[in-house]
Amino acid sequence: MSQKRIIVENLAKNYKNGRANLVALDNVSFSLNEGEDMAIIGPSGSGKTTLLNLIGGLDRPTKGKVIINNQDITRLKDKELSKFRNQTIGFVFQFFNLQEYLKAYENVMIPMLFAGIKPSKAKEKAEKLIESVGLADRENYYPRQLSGGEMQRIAIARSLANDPKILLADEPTANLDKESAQNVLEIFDRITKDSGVSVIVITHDPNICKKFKNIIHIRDGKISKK
Amino acid sequence: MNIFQAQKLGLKKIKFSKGKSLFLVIPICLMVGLIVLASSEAQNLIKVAHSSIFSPIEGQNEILELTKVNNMGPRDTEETGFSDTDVDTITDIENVEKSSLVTELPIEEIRSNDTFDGKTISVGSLYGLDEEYAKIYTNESFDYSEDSPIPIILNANDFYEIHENWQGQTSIEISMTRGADETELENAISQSPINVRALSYDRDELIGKVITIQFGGFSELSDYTQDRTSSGFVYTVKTQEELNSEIEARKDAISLYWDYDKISMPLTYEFIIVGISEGEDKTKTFVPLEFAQKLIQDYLSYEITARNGSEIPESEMNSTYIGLVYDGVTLESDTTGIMFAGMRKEMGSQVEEQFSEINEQIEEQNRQISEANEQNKQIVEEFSNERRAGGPPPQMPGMISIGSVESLNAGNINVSFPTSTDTFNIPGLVYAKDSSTNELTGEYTSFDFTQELPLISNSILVKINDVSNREQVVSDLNTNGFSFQDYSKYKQFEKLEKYLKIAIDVASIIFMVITALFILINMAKFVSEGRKEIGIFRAIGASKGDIRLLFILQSLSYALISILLGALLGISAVWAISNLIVNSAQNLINSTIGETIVLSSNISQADFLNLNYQMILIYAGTLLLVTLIVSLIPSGQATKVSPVEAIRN
Ligand SMILES: Nc1ncnc2c1ncn2[C@@H]1O[C@H](COP(=O)(O)OP(=O)(O)OP(=O)(O)O)[C@@H](O)[C@H]1O
Ligand SMILES: [Mg+2]
Repeated sequence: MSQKRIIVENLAKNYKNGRANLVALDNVSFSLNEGEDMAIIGPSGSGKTTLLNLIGGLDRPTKGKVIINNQDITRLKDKELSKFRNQTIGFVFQFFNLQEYLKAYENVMIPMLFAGIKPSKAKEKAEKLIESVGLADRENYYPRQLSGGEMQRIAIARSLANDPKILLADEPTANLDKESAQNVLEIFDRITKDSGVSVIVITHDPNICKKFKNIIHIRDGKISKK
Repeated sequence: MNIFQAQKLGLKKIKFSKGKSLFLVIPICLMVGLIVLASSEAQNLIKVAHSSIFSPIEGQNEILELTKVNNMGPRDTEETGFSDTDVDTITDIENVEKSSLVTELPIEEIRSNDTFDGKTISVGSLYGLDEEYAKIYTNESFDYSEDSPIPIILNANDFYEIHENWQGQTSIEISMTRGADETELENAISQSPINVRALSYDRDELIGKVITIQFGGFSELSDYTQDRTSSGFVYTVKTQEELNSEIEARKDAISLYWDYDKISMPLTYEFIIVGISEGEDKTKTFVPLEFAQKLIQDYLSYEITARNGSEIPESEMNSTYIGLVYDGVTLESDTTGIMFAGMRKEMGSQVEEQFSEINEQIEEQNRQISEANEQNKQIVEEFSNERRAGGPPPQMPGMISIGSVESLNAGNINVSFPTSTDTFNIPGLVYAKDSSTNELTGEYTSFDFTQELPLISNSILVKINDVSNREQVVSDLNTNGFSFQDYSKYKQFEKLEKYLKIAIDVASIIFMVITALFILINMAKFVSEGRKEIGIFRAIGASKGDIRLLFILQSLSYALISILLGALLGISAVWAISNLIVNSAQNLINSTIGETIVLSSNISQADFLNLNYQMILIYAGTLLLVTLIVSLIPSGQATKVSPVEAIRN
């Protein structure tokens, strides 16, 4: 039996807007095994991004636990949390978020540099990763010289830089054409299968959803359907 | 992430957005460039001014020349010269390293025609100096030997020429009241047809130069007269006839007792310049002691052989022919005699005639003497003021040789000062003086020239152990009764130098503050513009420390680039405008201090090419440090950026 990689327990997040108390996430619980993928789907403002950020250690919950590899990350100090994000999580964003002043391979190197890996080693690995997303000939390009799909593939290469256990992607295909989106999803699939990475993807697209083993529906901060 | 990687990242960011970066870099770059330029050129200016005004041999500021000025009163009122006791007193003063008596040679008319091409300079006062003191002025040998040029240390204050400009007129009147104030004096001087111009010289060129110097003979007669009027001065050009008749009169008068051709012929020796005595406070020219004795012996014996055999009558002694006096102890110039010869005689007869009123008369004399003294002082002062500001130099011993007869009507005694036309200074003429009565008893011709001649030491050289103690030593000298006024501009210049340095420092600090503010503002801008980047970096694993490092190094990269470019800019500016500066500096120095102070060197462009590396390094270092400190605030701000908010689309 494969091990539970992510356990989310009674997770809640409230935002205080002046006096109003907005419940963005309300008692969410679920779990995910290693090497499995999951899609989160739900209407706008339902709390998908909030959930993903909590899993990725970008934000702290109002209540509940996020247990990753048997460790409750909600209790980690800022420094440990940074290290956790660097080592265990890979983020892929809707708008790619590459640094425009860095070449493709340099963008991929950044998480490794934060990890304290030697630049020469980091460069070597960045090149391999870029090759694995099929952009070996683009490694010296600046982001503005790349298409959206290419940028997203570089961003995926970057998310894989430190061999994360979990890959979190917030609407990674929303800004891509069909073909590029397909390409990105194939890469995710391969990562899950080949490296045992647990992938969680937020999407609005039911067609994309179908391709994932696990799907959770979120509505008003609650899981409406698993 | 380590510093180098963060630095590299910062540089990449700067390189990527060159346009934007330039907005940041240019202002800092300009400020740094300006500082490099200003501090370098200020330093160069100080250096140039310093070496123009003062000796490059700083040691000369450690020397004080204490000279007993010839008192203008009757010769029996005060002793001239210093004694060994004085030297002992001075040596005991704190911070005085050593002090020695030095002896002035009582020789009038010392001139050189070949030190400066086409110009004649007069040596004001010539002294014998021993080897030990010579070291202060020169690294060369100061040994006298018969068959090679004699080493000499010239005095830069003797390097001047008198320039006449009559603007086509034969007479120029200048209004100036006695006790004129500064502006009135300036005004009078600017109108004067007679100007003294300092000759600029290149120390290195002069040193080692072989020159000839003439001793004795007669001075060229002044070709103009300067008279006091009720409202000031009037300068009048002498006609050629007047001049010729003066020359004839002089020749006739001197020919009575001398072989005129022989006595008017100066003695000539060959010298090699080994040093230059420099500084406002320096007046002495030095030759080796041994030569000094030889020179004075040659000078006196020459006079004796130039006599034609006729005896000088007592009535003419000292009122017409002036020379030296020997009282059995010391041999010295009879400068006091010149001034008061006539006066003494008249007063003497008055006293005899009015024997009954003797007490009253003596009082009267004293009053007149002090009045005359007062007046002399004033004349001396006026002349020395003029000399300082460009007027004719005092012609020691004869400011009276300017020619005007100052009549002093005091009581029933009418006193006339002798003038150059009826008083003749005969090289080497020696009168014997009765030391008990102070009367001249006749010509003295019986020196034993195999013996050292008994010259009087009217000066003491005081060597201070360190120039910084100069003020204290001067003050102690005065409390010990040696009235010494420090004419050296050294102190003032030091002040000026200090102010200039302070001005540069203040400017630097202001620039530094501006630069710091500039960096602070821009850093804050980086942070607000970089929120998204910060958020992404945080998401992909940057710690707060990484973010801080990134931002600080980004600022430092900007500062470093700006400083490097600024230094480059400043250095090119120094090169580009040194030419301009050299001209204006030359003009500035010439039009201010150059008129009164002999400049030791011409300024060249190379003088303004030196860079103030020390200041550049200090400024760059401080700027980087300030950048570091200043960037701590916004970079701290950057660490507080929440990644969630920063990456929200
Ligand atoms: N920092 C915040 N302060 C206040 N309210 C917030 C904050 N972040 C999110 N919210 C609110 O929480 C709710 C959930 O937001 P979230 O971003 O998780 O929605 P989402 O499901 O990702 O929507 P979308 O599909 O449009 O991205 C929304 O109502 C949003 O307005
Ligand atoms: Mg969202």
